[in-house]
Amino acid sequence: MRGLRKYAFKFFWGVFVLFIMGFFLLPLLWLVTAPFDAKATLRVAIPSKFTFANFRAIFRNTFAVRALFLNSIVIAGGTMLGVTLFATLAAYALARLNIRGRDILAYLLVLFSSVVQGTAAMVPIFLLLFHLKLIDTYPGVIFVLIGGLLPTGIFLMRDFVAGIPKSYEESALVSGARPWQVLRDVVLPVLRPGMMVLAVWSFVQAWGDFLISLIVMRSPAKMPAPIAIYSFYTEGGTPVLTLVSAYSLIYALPVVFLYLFVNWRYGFRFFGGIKGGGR
Amino acid sequence: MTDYLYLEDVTKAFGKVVAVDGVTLGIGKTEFFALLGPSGCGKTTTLRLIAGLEQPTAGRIYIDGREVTNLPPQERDIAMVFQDYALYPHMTLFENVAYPLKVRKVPKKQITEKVHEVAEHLMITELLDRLPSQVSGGQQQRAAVARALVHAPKVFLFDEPLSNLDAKLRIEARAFLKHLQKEINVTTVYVTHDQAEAMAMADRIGVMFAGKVVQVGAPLDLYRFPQTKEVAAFLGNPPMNILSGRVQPSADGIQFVGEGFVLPLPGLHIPPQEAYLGFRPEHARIDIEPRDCAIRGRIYAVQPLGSEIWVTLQVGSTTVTVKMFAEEMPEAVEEVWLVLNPQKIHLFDSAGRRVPLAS
Repeated sequence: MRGLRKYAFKFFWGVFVLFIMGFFLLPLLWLVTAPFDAKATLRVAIPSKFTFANFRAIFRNTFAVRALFLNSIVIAGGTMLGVTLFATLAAYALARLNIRGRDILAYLLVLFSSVVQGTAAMVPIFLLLFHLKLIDTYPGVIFVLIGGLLPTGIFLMRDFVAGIPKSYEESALVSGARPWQVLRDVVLPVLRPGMMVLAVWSFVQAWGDFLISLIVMRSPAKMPAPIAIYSFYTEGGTPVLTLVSAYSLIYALPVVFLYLFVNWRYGFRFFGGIKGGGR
Repeated sequence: MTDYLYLEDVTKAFGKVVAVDGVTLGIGKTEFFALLGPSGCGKTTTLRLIAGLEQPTAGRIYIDGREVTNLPPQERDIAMVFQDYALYPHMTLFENVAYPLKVRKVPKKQITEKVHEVAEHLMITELLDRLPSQVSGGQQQRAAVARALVHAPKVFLFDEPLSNLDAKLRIEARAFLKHLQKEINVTTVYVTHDQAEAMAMADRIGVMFAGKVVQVGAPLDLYRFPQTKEVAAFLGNPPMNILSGRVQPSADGIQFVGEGFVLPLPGLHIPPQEAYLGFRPEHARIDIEPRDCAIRGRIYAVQPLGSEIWVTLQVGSTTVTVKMFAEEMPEAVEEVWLVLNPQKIHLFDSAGRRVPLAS
């Protein structure tokens, strides 16, 4: 009786897990099958008529191609560089300097950024950029995205910096290194894995942004991919599934490649395991 | 001021906490000097002041006749081995050891020669292309020493470099570092909380308590003539036994009145006061018969350590430990008599300062 109950539980647990897996995997499956189907529907199906025609149609749409390969890359790339650079420097200062109330400052940063964001800040952000004459410019979008991501980025990086013993820097100083040499030879290489995580994270965040670009950008030629995807909707507002899926697949690839590249080149690993006691 | 490294009335305060309190210290050229004290006594801060990693609140520091008080660490021509070794995790041992030469813009060829020379000395040659995480703790420690050694510094600073090694390696490293220091003849300041380490390695020891250097001297001088009760109780393994009581005048001098015993101290004259009687565990023995001036005690614990036996006795409300050879150990008894060697006792006054005995 007990055994039976155990097996029944295992059975239902298995079914439940399969269901959850299916729930998350099916859309992904659709994303890799539908683009190659001449008659794609919302169903996941092996393409009845295998074709590359959908991709050809995409590449004829210069607006959408420019959005993906220029606008989105510039916006996400710029945001990535900005967030990684500023968050690292700020986190380093926050973790290393003894400022009174620095922990409270760090928590306030995160709290504030998560309360005031997106929709709530739409009007002030628009007004601010308007007066700075940054409406309809790349820097406009990039600055707003950097501002939005920086608090969380600083917070992530601060813990990373705090985990690195100060003695690395001190030992370099005692060895005769100037402060800039300490930064170049010791601090940045040791922080690099953390910076890579931060870079990929901020790139993905900016890559997927829709709202900020929609508010800031005015001319169609500067819209990024998440907005340009609406050019594959009919006049009546229904998506052309063949084209939307093909565009989405191309849209997803840079992020995948970025992840693979960073993982191959640097690895998302942390230098750990140097044994040493605290003091 | 002929000292090679000289600290002149150096004070360091962190806010209201005074970590180093008016320390004046002279260390000779090529001397191996140990700063010994319990944790939090300011010894590491003193070392960091010498390194330039901290700025003194008051006082001056001189190295080789030049004032370095306000110089940054990189201009002091020193080397330091950190407690956690601080080997850069992204560099191989070669790159780690080469780093002090690299920042000094030494030509590549010379760097390679010098690193290999030092590495050979420290027996890490075959590990040079490994990362710090790929070698053992003892090897990391030697690499850290190699990195400190490579540019022939004026002063060598050690911050508890052995505390991360296991007991057996630590004893080996002790002999190794002492030998190395004599060979390269570089002035060395070595911070430790382990009195055995300081005694074993140093030419001279400075004992620190609460930010002050209480006593400076050769290891055996400190051991034989501790100037305060704290120093007496900090050195030695097991440390000196301290019994509290009073001194009172007697017919031919004074006598020490402890808990349940009276010890005459003829020829001494100090005013009656609270006082402390100290004796080293090796300067007492146990007898089963009552004797003159012997102190009655009960056996509390017996620790046979091989060549010697430590016997801990309950004497009044305190315990004392006696070191003796295995064959001297009396048969199973509970009540014993503690017999002190009158030539080898120490007397401390009410303030804990040493009272010289007539000899």
